Amino acid sequence: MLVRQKLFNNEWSCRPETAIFITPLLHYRLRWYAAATARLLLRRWQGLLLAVGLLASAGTTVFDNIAILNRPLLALLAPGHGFAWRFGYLLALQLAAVLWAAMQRAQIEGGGFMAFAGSLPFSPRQRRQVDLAVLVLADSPLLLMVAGSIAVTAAHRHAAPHVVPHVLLLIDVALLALVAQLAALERRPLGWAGALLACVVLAAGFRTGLALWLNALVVAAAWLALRRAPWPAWPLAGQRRRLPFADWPGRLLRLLAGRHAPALRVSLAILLRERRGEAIAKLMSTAAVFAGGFALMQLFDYDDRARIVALLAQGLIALTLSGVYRGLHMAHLASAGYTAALPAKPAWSRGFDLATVLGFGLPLLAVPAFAACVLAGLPPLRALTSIASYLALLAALRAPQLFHERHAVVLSTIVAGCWTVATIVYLN
Amino acid sequence: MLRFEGICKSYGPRPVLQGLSAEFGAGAWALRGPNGVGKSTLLKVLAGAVEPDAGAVWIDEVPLHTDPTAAKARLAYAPDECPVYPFMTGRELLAFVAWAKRCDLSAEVLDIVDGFGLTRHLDTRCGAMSLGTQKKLMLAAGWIGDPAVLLCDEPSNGLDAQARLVLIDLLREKSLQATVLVSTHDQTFAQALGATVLDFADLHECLPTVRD
Repeated sequence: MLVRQKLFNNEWSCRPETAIFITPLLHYRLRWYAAATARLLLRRWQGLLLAVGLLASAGTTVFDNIAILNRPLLALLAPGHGFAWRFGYLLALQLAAVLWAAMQRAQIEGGGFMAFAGSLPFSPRQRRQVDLAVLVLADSPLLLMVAGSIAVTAAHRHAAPHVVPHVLLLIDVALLALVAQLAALERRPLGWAGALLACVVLAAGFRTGLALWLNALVVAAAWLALRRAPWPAWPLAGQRRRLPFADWPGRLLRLLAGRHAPALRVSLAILLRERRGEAIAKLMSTAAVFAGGFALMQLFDYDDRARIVALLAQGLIALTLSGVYRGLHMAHLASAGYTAALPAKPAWSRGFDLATVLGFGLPLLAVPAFAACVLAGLPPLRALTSIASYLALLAALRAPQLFHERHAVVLSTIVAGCWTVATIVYLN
Repeated sequence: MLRFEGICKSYGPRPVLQGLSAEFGAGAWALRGPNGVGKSTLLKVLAGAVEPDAGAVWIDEVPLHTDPTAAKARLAYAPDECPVYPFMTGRELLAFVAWAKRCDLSAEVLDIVDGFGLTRHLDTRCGAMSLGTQKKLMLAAGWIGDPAVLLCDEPSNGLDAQARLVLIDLLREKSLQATVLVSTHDQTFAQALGATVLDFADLHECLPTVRD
């Protein structure tokens, strides 16, 4: 009712150019985002608070604690690195931001409602403002990190001449992340090209006499890019031709699975198309686990403890990836009305789901083992054994994940914990 | 070719099918009845997509309840809606059905796909297809594996005039050598098929069989 009143009583609604005021659209988009991500949003904030609780130290100041928590972002400001490192780091931050948005694309874009809302007379700029507002909400945990980093940097008096350029650089990172995310959501590669160019400028100007002006220029350019909508399409958009080698995934599948390729393709399509956001989230989680494990391995100077950290990281990665089983299972259930009438075994999808999850997990489980092998001297045979053990764990976790929705996390954690301890004991 | 006895099915406390029995030989059969009477449920049960509470179904003499894989290899089912994975392309769906039926996509099926004008939609995801295109895809998949029994739920719904004519020709031809059982409210369509029209209520009463 409140929205209706706003719609009809608002003075803006009387003007022909804004026949429908933007507020109701924003209201519904935010409401949809909250409804669609309620559980996920809660989990992310729980994760953030848990990380704060685990990493915060009672013996240090608040600013030191904030600095520790925001280390991934503040590392960008560390002197002693060259252009290539800083450019690569800026790109990695943009990539992480894009992945963050990509994994919640459906929720940010407003769902099926926007297909209808697209027929209403909103200007592109109004739509952009609403998109941006929803994106800022979706990015809130990341923006909190930027705010914390700015606070720490601003309070840092030892590097007084660099404080303003550094603060501007952090603002640049946030604004460029929004530009890159919008470019990904709107499928406008020119936005990426702009963000890439800005990263070159920022990396080249770091701690030079022009840093202040270059950083300020990027802030202004990014702000303008966010305000201007829509960005021009890629010059070759719509003219792409199917390349002769474009079917290589199909050929590879046929090579691997023979006549079963169409069925394996179903499981892969669920993971890579329907549940792409979840797959990206799992990738990001495993990257975070690996990054944390790698930091600990460094802290332990790559001694025996570092090997145990690598094995623990593999267990955590297996546990994280096992959540994929439920999504696959639900997708098969949704189509059972048709597939049940086909002459396949009732559990035809089980083997293909397993193959998909194990194929997805293999490279991710191999990374910590490879790191332990190269950096901490874990013998190659033991590294291979650890990969095999955790692949078996990943397969075994299908049962607890599908056993009962409410207890899936607890049961899977118990299984993964016991398995990890057994693997550590066996390999040490 | 299609026989069922004593089929019962309830959803919760609400009985939908109560002791249905019939036998169909080669030919076209049109099942009609008011909305919600249980036509779609019966077709789902006959297709093995829904398990009955009681009763048995034979597809081309193969019992569906004891040898479901062999029985389903001899039948095809085209539901009213498109309950397949929305992320699958048309081509992937056809390949998947052929995989399940352990056969290749025959030239006949590819001709049917072409006849329905589906060729240009084969790389489109099912979720992005129009309802009519989804319907044509599900119907075209029905010819994979040369089934002895073809079960179609409201096959003419949502089809354009050209596709409707193509479907009528295909079903007429198929009914010469297979059992084609369709549920439909469209009397003109049933007549064009040359189908024997069965009232669902009569099916309840005319136990035990409807013979060719």
